Amino acid sequence: MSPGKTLALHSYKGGTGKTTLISNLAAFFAKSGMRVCLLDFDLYAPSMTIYFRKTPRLYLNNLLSGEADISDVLVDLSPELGLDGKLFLGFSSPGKEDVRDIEIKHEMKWQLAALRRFLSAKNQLFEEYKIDYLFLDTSPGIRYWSINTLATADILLLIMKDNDVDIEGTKKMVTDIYDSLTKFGSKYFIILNKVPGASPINEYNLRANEKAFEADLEKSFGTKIVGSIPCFCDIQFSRHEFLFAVEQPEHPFSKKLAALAERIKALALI
Amino acid sequence: MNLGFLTKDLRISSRKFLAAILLNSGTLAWFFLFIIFMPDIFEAITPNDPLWSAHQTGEILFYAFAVLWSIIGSVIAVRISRRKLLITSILLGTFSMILVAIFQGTFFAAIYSFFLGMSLGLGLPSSMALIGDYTDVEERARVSGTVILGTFVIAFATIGVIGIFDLGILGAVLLMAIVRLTSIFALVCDKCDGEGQKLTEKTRLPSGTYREFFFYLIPWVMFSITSCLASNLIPAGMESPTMTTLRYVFIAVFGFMSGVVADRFGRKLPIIFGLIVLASSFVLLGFFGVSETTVTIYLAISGMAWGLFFVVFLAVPGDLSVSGSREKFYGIGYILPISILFGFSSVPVPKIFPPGSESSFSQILSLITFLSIIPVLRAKETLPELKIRERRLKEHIEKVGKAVLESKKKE
Repeated sequence: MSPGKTLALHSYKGGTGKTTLISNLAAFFAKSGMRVCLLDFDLYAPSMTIYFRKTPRLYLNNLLSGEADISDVLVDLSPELGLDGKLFLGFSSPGKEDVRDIEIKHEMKWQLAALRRFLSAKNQLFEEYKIDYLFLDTSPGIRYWSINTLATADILLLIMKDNDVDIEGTKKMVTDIYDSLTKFGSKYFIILNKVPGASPINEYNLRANEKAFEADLEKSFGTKIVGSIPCFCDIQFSRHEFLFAVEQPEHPFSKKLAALAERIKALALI
Repeated sequence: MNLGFLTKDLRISSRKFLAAILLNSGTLAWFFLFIIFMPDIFEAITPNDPLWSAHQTGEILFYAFAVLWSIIGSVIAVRISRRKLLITSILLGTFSMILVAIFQGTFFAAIYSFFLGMSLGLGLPSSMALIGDYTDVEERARVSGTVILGTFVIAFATIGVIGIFDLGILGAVLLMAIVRLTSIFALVCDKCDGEGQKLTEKTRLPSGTYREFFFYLIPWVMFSITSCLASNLIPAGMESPTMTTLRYVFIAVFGFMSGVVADRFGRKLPIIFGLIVLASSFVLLGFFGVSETTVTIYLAISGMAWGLFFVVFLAVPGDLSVSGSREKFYGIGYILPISILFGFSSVPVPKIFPPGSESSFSQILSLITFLSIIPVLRAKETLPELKIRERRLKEHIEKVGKAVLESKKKE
């Protein structure tokens, strides 16, 4: 059995940069020779097809419904991106009907059946595809499929912006669901994203009290902050940001991401 | 004592849970035992007075004083310590019961009616307010259900002891004094002082609260009146001890179950269900006539409805009130309807319908009960939708977590 790890990235609300971060992290790991799989479990508002500009034949929705196998869903992007390792992607359907279908399917029986199909697919990924890191992008907030996805992960990375709305909302979310999820063996950590005070010119000019602020945050959440990614306007307002970490390795964002990747690797070893 | 199996998923501490159960179940069990033995007690202490022994004067006075003192109790509750009020009411009931065994006569019968009514009326609003203060909205009905279950367990055990040892009325009275005293243990294991005692400003509730309370009160009062009137339908001697036991078992079991349902799906569902089954049992009596079979079915179904109502209406006043105002809500919302239910049943009124008209009378009761559903439909659910969703979410997490753990074990 492969000693692969499952990491889920989650946030209290949208716009935290979760998709950008997870895509870059997955690509970065694959670039450094790892076998990586990224699955878009933001089933209620899928965005990976747009981010990667791909239209696969089958989606994760088909896998959950039992209409497809994981091998039918995966798209191998490594040759196209020239990565040393492997990067497999599984997209969720952006189709209106499919999204609506997921929205209304709340029956526990269906949810558990779909979850078991995914768990079986996950085993297949680790055993047959020898995946080192399985990244799961989730729907923001507390929704059925964000819970289902988070429950299957070994490490939960909670992305939040450095503002009161995000912090307070995330605190409530931790009390409501994370405390229960940790009972099942998951660990959760925090990543601060789009932290103000940095710019492409002066990316390390973080606020003077940033360290104290992070220490307070760690205390109130009862967990570690594994990364603090500054806000970069050229990424934030780019018309189509695409895998900066791979395409522009010298960019401060890529350097920050590399540091984050190292910490994640260390967490995966714990 | 490990109460984990009862408090699972409840936020209330075991100590507070035990205090709420002991206080309320002890008082209600004593009350139900007193209802059962009251005619015999008053007959025993006033043997040569036809006004007392034949006309249920003692019973009527007891209920009247209970209602009067529940009103007084709910008004003075915010001004004096709840703990002192509870100790007074418990000791008053205990010593009065002991004195019943010692002093007899018409004068003493009047005194006992006064003090026993005072013990019930003064203490019960504060005891019930403790449930409201100690519980969150999503656990209140389950705690109330346990109170009703506990009530009938204590009452059955006491009746069992009286029967097995053939204690007679004197022994029964002394045993009831002990039951009344059990509530004092609640005050040993907990302070039982409400937050309301600390309030200095008059507690203000949104005006809509009283309207909602009224909507809930109507079916509860209508249920009490129809149940009381329905007792006229059953000929004397037809209700066997087995049937009565069956009814009490149904009250206890369905009461407990309705607590779980009311905390899962809301308060309105069990109320509407209770009214529908009760009305249906009246339809049954009206359609098939009064026979041993129909009366047994009626008693079982009405027992189910009683259980539902006893529990849900123990939770609803707590949902609608806040600390400092709870006693008033419980005084009007619980003690008044149950006094109507049991008190009016004791009043020796002449049969209000001519012989042979039971069928029409049952249909009228059925119609009144069905119509009582309307105010419930108008009332706002007191269990917030958000709490229902939170519970569903927690259950979802548990189930998903278990599925994931099973999958990990298979690996």
